[in-house]
Amino acid sequence: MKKNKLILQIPKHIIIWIFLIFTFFPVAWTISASIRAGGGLVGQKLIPENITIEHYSNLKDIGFFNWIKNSLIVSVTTAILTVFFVSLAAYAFSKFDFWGKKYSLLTLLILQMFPAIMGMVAVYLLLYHLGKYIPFLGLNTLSGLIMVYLGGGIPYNIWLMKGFFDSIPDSLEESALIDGATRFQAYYKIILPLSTPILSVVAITSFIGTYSDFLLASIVLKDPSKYTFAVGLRNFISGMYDVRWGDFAAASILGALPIVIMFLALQNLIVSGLTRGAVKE
Amino acid sequence: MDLYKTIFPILYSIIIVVIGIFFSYIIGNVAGIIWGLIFFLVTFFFSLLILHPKTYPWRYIVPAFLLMFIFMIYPIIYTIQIAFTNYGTGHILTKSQVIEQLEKETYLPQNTQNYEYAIYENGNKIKILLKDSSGNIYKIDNKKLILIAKENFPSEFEGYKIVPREKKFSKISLLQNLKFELEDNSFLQLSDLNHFSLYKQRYVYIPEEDVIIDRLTNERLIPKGGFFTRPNGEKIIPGFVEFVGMENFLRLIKDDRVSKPFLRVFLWTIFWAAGTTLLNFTVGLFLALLMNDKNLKFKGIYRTLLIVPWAIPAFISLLIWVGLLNTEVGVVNRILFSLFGIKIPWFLETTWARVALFVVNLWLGYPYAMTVCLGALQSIPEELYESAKVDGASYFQQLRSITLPLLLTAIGPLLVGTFAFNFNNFNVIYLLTAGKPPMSDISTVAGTTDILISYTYKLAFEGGRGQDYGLAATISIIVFIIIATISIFNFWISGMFKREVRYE
Repeated sequence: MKKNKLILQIPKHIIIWIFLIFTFFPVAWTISASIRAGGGLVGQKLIPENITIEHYSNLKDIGFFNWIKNSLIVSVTTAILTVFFVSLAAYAFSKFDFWGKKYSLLTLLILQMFPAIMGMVAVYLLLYHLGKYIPFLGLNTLSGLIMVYLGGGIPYNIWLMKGFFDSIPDSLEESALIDGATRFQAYYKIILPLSTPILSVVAITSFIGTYSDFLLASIVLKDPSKYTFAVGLRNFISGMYDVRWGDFAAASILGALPIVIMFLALQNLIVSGLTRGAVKE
Repeated sequence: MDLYKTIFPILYSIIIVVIGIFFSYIIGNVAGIIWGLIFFLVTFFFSLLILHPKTYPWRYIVPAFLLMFIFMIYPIIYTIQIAFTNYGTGHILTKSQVIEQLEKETYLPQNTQNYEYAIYENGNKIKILLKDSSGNIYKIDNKKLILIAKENFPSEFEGYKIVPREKKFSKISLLQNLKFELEDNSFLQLSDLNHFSLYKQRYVYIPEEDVIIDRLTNERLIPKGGFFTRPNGEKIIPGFVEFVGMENFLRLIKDDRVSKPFLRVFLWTIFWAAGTTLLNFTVGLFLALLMNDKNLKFKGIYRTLLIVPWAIPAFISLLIWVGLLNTEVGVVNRILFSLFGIKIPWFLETTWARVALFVVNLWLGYPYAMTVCLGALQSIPEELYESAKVDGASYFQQLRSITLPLLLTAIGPLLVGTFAFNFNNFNVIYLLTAGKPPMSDISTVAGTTDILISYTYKLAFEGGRGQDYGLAATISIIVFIIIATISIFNFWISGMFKREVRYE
């Protein structure tokens, strides 16, 4: 009986291995391209004939580190500011009863359905006009881009964080209030420390989402020195696969690695954040 | 402490009002005074909520809402507004900006007055004296010509020294931009090397009749279709932004050059979103069923390895796939060629481009489908299967009557959500095929694999014949409506509205 079960499992392993091959097919070819001597797609073999690190040492010249620097500025700032603004608002929605609460929550619920890209024409024109009055919020600025990401992520994350705050018992806060703490002190001395899991989820998902965005960045940023990784990489490789494949592969791997490691190391945390509200707990 | 408690809200609400005034001014300039006013009232209202002790919790909310208002809600409203205009290439300026620009244009009337001139210099500054045909010499002062001498230009004038004739022409570049306005809407400008002449303002706007008079030709220019237009139909460039009512929406139905590509893109968008969602979830569910087995070895490792495509930023994987699927030298075609002797024209033929999209989006999307299916499967109580086994049900009977129905109720809303996501999956379409191949029989920016959102992007940001923000915004609105309908349907089937009412 037991042996039977093990034999039954062999087809399962085979099927899973087929999917693993599918999954790692592009990954393997990219790694191979990044260490292969010669730059083009032509005649590439999975096991490179001559190994070189030239593509990695080229990265500085193609502007890779500047893209990554811009991406990090935008993503880290967006993540921090999102957590800051959202946690304040979510705290109020979770712990207070007040005028306008129900309709505000409903509005947020409806707004979170609209991805920011649907207003892209208006966002472009808004930044275009804003830039004439406030240069640092105009087109072609990282700070303008940050503001757009920030505004778009607020509704969904307020709901997400409010759900977590709801699960923190009120009694903890009440005892602090009795001891003479103000509401704001209760918020940052009691609620925030207890909420590190959700704060990290919001910070990490905002970070990854911003880092991975191509559309808004490509609309807002025009000057190559301002490019984020997504826009820079796409403009670098577009139409140039036959000559830049090796450098591109190296840039892809170095640029993706931190995100992949972060994602896999924190997969349970991130997956629970991304699929929340969907799978009923 | 008490002082702090009273001062803080006042200071806070003042800051909000200041920000409000600032942005209202800008929005008022950009979108019209009404929107500026609305925005100001909203921020003013926020600051009242901050001040009033009973609405104290709003102090925590206002910063987030203000950001959301400027960078999310306002763009939505602005999109709606643009959809009813002809905003786009050739129609960028407002009407008053166009009038202002046209009113600066001048012309040289027949029998105009010509003047000889002399240049006077004092350091870097220069002045001009003019001499008419009867030898009178004038200076220009306060929009008037004032007679100061006769016959010969003086060698010095108001502390300025005359520039001798031989050096005169080295100063000519300075003179070209000089334009002296005189009282009766005429201007003195350089007309040839030796003369200044009296120019007249060419276009005059008459607000009461909303027409521009061209004084050179004596024509009345009527605003029509976003341009001031001559009686013979000639348009004056630049055009202006104009309210066009439902015209953009009508174009989607009536204008063949727009309605044909729009309809095709629309149908493909639905087919794409439904197809790729079903495919991803079928594969994801299949894998989840395989993995949902306590006895399976290496389960944890398999799961981690299989979600790798989810972990890689999608734009990177997509750009890699473009290289791998290259028709001539791509790895995929080389493997297929050595195995079966075929080369597939991945991005050159519509059918294959679509197959490529489905396959690559399966690669990107199955880890998510698998993960949520696995979660849902694990939440099905074990006892159900045990009692089914006691009743003698086979594996497939259990699958059909226990697993699938329970699973579908759990992941139903997610299926709808994924559909909505793929409906707007710009990255996959734009980075993989960029909408190509082009539609062969219609002249349009849309390709055969474009979805609505990538079509919108192309209309707004890379149209070959210029940008059409008005039409792009119109299509955005249609996408808004579809997504909103889907989401409301989704809330309804998942009972979300009911659940939320509890938090009142």
